Amino acid sequence: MLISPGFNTLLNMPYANQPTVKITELTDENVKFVIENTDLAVANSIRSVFMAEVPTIAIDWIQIDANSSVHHDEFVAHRVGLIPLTSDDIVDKMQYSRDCTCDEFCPECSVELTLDVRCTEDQKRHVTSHDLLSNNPRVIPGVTSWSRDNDPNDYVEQDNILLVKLRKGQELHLRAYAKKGFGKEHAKWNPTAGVCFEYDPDNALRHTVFPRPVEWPKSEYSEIDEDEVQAPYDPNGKPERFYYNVESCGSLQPETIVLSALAGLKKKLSDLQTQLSHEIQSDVLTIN
Amino acid sequence: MSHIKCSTFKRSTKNNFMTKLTRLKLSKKLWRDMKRKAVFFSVLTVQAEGSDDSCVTFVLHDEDHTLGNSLRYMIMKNPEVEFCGYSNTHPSETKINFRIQTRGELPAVEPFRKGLNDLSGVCQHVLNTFETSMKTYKEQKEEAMD
Repeated sequence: MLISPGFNTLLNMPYANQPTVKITELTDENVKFVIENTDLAVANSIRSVFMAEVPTIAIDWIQIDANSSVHHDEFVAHRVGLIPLTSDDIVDKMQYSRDCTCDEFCPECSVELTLDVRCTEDQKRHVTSHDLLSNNPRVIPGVTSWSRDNDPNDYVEQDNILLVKLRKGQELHLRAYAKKGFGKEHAKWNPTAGVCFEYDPDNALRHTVFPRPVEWPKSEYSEIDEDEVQAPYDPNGKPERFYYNVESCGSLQPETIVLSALAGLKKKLSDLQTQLSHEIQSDVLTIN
Repeated sequence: MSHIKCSTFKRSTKNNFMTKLTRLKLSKKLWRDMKRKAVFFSVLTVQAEGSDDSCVTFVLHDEDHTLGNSLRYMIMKNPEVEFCGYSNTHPSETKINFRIQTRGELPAVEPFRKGLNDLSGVCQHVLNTFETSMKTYKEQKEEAMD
């Protein structure tokens, strides 16, 4: 776990700011927080990492045994791939399939899911994410919620994602493997439904110029009076306070997204450091 | 049958193998990235000028503005750095050219290393403050409920 190093480490790095974080709201889906005393570049990198570099689990390999629905195989496969799978505790322990020592798939690097639906009644059968059965009870389609943790049998019906609709006699039978990945590779691995990022709510820095400022609604973080439309211009100002609202799509808890993102960014930096020292050591520097 | 899987991102640098496409593959990017299997290093230094180490261009593979901009900001704070900038070579290529020029005799890798350390320190600090803030928020909520 994380042990706070306190002030000491940052005294050795006089250029590093000491940003402060304040959480204003935390629910099952959202986390709203404010980061102060950092720079726009770092704040933007953090926002970018939330969406692109946080690993989650999503279906990435499908074998379709039978598909007599009205949609073609790739269409169904695309929809199945986009279903969010609860990846909270599992994704840290899983390896990437390409790194795993196994031949094709194994429990270390993948989760197997199956879907077998045949419509036998006269009325339409809606095939939903509820019909997707996983071999790992912690990785199921739908939304991570605290209620699931308390009682795994207490599955709430509200988050069923519709896949296809079947008529009498039509069936859909498929086998799938879900793998670890991150948003850069494909949007299905993006754990966020959206990241709101705001700074300078009253436009004191004039980073944007409104043709008619009176038309624009005030931000929820606005600090000026009702009758003022913009804060007065501050030529020496710099972006200081950054407001975030991270909304999760269900695969990870919102606070897990933030923690995983920051840890991921740190890991990128330390990987670069090791690579750099290897390069220097092995003397690969070419001289023109 | 021989299996070769491909390393797509720098974080997985061992075992190059390729998977067979006999079933439907959703992740088409894997195929494009197979061509990248020769690239193991995420950093490759290209010296720009003479035998002097003070001007260096680093080529960072599989990186974009996420790391580039924040690193550039950290390195620019260093007064020894005369020039620091980055650009992506082409939007289709996921690599950036990161250039550092220092005043005087200081080798350019020094501010680069320092920038990485500083940025890492900032991330750790934000991580810690976020955790403490979360703890206090949850405690406050519990108190409010009682």
